[in-house]
Amino acid sequence: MGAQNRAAGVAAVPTEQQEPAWHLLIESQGPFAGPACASFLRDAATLAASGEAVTLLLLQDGVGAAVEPGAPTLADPLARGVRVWADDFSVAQRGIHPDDLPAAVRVVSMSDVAELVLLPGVRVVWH
Amino acid sequence: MATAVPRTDVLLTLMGAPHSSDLVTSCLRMAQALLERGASVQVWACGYATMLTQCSLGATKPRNLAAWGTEYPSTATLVGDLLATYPDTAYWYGCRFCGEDRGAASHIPGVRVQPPWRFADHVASAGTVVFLGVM
Amino acid sequence: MADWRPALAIVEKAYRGAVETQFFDALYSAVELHRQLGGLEVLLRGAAASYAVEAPPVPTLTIGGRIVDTLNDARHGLRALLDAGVAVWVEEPGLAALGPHTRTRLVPGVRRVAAGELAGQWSTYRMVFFL
Repeated sequence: MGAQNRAAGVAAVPTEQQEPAWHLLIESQGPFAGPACASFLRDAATLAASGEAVTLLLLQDGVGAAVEPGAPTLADPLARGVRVWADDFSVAQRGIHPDDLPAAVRVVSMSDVAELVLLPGVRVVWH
Repeated sequence: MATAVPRTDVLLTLMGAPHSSDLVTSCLRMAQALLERGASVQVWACGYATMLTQCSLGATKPRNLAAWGTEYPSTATLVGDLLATYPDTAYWYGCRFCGEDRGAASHIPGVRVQPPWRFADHVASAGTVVFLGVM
Repeated sequence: MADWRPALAIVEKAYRGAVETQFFDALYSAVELHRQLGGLEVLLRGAAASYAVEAPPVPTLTIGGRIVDTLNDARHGLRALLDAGVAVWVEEPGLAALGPHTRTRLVPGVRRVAAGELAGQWSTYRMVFFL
């Protein structure tokens, strides 16, 4: 069920028995920073492919990675079950139109992010 | 004798420099969101982030000539507000070495200065540790 | 002999501190440079291309018990530049990177150019610098 949910981009609810290693990867630099963004997205995909539960938050200039035609860089992470979020403040700040975000990318508030950060055992990596 | 570091749910290690990206904004937003959820948060400011809480910043930014009557709170004021609003769950620390290295040695009340060798104590005192940006 | 040609300021980096910068961002300093240098043109490219896209006002933030409603608003700053008589250009690739809907939502008065198009005219400016 966990793998099925992850493939659908839906987070599996952790249970006491599962104790998953939740990973929150935060991309703040985006495609304009050069190949480093692609490298970090690849890290997210690799981590998910190894069986971990991964959420990728696009924040600040990182939201640029979610916007067409930059979105192909998200294809592999999404295919490997990475849940992709985009920060609402960063999206609004840049005037990005919601229709230009892929359907698989969920726009979230910092409160949503905080909920994830407070999960027991979560590991957060900020790029 | 070193005082014990209060335990917190989250440690945000703010490494990146202000005025370079929205890193500081994101850090404050995340801290606020965590505190609003009832979590305890400590921020360890490193590098040029130690300048955010300097007394010399005053309460407000310099005047905006294009909007003379508008007051713009300084980062020192905003961090002070955070600490005052969440007195039992919010903590702000400045790295002593980084501050002295940059002439940022006079922090607002409520900010605690720590020697860099105590960083491990802060890591040990937090449930989750996040490193924000690079120096 | 005085050089009365405008200077060209290229803005690539964007969003450099909503909370710590507030009003004094690159666009604000461009207005002052236009006044002091006797003429300025601004080219937006890369991440800064989004400054040329119409958007609602920047949301307020709550920090501690304070509502912070003084964050810098790039569109407001851009209109101040245009009102001051500064010619503003934006490179197409930066706009394209923001999605297809941005093409129809440029701030009025901003002019589109192809990537690198203005570089061929650098010698016509008094000076060229990144801002």
